[in-house]
Amino acid sequence: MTIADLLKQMPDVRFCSVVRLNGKLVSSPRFQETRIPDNAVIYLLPLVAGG
Amino acid sequence: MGPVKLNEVKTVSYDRAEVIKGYTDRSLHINLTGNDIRIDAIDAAVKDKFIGGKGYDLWFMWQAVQGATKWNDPENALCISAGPLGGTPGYPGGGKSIVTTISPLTGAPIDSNVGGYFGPYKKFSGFDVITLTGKADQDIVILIDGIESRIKIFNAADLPDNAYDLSEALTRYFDEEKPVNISVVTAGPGAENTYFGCLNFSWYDAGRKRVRYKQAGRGGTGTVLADKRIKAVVARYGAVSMKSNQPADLEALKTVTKTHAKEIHELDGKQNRMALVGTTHLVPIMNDHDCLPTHNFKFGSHPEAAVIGEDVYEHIFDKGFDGCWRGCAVACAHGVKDFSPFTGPFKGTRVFVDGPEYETVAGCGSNLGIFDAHTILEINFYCDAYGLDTISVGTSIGFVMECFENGLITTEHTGGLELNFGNRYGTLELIHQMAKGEGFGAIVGKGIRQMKQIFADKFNADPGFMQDIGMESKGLEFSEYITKESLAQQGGYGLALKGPQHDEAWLIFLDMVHNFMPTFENKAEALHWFPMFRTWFSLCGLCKLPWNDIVPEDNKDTKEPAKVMKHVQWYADFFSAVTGRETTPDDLIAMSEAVYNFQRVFNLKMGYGTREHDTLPYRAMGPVTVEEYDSRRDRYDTQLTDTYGMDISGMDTAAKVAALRKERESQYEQLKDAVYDRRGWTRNGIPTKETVQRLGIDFPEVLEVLAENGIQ
Ligand code: SF4
Repeated sequence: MTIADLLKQMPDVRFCSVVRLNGKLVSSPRFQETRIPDNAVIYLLPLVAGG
Repeated sequence: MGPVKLNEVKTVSYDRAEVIKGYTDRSLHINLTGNDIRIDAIDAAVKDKFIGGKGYDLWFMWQAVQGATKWNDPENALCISAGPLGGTPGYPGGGKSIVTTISPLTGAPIDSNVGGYFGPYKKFSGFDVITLTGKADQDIVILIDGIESRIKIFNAADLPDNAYDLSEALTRYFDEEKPVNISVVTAGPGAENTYFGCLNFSWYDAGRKRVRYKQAGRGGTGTVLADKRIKAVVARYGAVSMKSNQPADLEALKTVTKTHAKEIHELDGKQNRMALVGTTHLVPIMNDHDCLPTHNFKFGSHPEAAVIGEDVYEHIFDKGFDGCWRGCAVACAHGVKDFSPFTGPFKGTRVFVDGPEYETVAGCGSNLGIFDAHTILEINFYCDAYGLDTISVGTSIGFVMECFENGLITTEHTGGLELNFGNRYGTLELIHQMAKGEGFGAIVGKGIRQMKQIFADKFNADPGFMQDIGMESKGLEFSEYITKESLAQQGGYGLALKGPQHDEAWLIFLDMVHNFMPTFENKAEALHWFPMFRTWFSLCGLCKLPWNDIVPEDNKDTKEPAKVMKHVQWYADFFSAVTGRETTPDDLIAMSEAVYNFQRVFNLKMGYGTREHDTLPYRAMGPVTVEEYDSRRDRYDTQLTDTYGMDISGMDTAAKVAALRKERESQYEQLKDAVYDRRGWTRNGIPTKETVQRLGIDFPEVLEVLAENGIQ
């Protein structure tokens, strides 16, 4: 399963453009290509506020 | 470093005003031409309208300067304030100082919001705001001693030149036993010799037993300090607690402080991990979204960006508590210990580097083609020690490198330096030259606006191309975000009062990534609300980061997630608890709107503040060169065909660049109209009479400036 697949299954993730997958940042342009390994810990980061 | 020798030339004892509900209601004015020291009561009407912090700074600056005042005229004022909420230990981000002055780069008011303990210590010493005017005839140090209730001016000879040693020496000199009682504001030799000198605001890190500092970076505040021949301003104060502000409702203050701090402790680890990596988490995120300035903002990403991001700095940063204010739960002000520079006067020694933050990594790293975490640390260290703004340094050198690579300037002009992208030794050499005011560095230190003129006049460089690629607006160098695909953020930069700094509005994600503001009206609304709310932090003496860099877990379920309204409500509660003035979130916006519009009129007073000054270099809007267009050909081709309905089959790339430019420039002008309408300004970008009346800033002097500009 990719991050994009996971997000499709979740309600209201409009603000999710970055996730932290096993401690590493993954941004939305890479959601399609990034597979989620077994037993992964994943946090959906809220909109990145910046500055 | 020899012993510090200071010669006292003036001492004034004063009755220390109590801080009541966040205010001392006193201002301190020091005119260095004649060493005149004056303490005034602050009028209740001024307090009501200008709130404190940046509001007070601007009000007192307005009184000090004329429309014709230049940055280096004696009457230019350097103002420092804390704000009524500033100095609340434990409230995340609860202790910032705000500096304003007429900027050497822009000729208009500049403001900077900075950490360190100076602002709170100065307030608890009895003064909501200090103004420094005039010029000393030799180097001086000013002490505001809130423990002994004395203000002293010293003549200073043979002090260390650099801010790193100077802050340490003065901290020890003024309170050897309790260095934590001292905060020092210094600049450095780079501030003397460039137009983008910064100020270093210190605090004593009791855990590491050393002096640390944060920078009021933007717009040359350090240059003004140096021009007045002030080597340092020192505040001395003792223990600070939640009671120090004598809040109107201590229990309510404790409750809101605990609530906000607890949330940060619980969520930061799951979100941006700022307590571990500061703002360096933004490097890979910006890179992935094509927003990381690379090679003078030409591109938005680079394959090597990972080596200058959070993964690397997390391991380099020294572990320990890193709040630039007491008890700040975000604790994002990281540093590196035992760093050994490989160039310059500190070569081979071991130093502590405060930083880097995202802006420095992007500006002095990727933007210069330098993908080396240690070189960025060295640039960071020397910029701070010399008193140079890392953002202006990075953006200016990026411009120089692109001019060099395009043959607009050559080694004949640079004194033999091969200033190609990626040249880390050349970059460091330029910085050392800036500090001494020597060689080609002396020209670079004047900033991009002046460089464009010098390169055109003296080196015969193409002014049109330099206008397109020189990343400055209003004379201030851009901070470090690529805005080509976010019209709203183009407005965030171009319509910012002081110039292109992201602290007014940061809308890239909402606009470009999420597409939450598809219409001009949506963007204009955002370019009203966000600058107003962000302004409020500087009125009150707070840091903006705890507002939206860590957000509640249920934030996404709220009506307006981008505004993080739960936190906005906490800030209203915070304001009510300290000042006793019952406050709602809407009130916070109204407070800022008055000050914001006053600053716009201030720009007008100084000869700026109209539509023509809200312009951007085209690189902020779209691809300037064929190379740039080709690097994102699919994206731009699709826009020309799908968004603008063009047939591009017969067009070469140069024609496409021109076609896209026409559309994007026109969009930006439409955005200006929409924002001016929303803000209650004329189409020339001037607040109308009705607007200043509605906001209660229709003072005679404001109306006079408006009338001089055709607003009756
Ligand atoms: S959030 Fe970071 S920058 Fe802001 S006050 Fe806290 S430590 Fe300083």
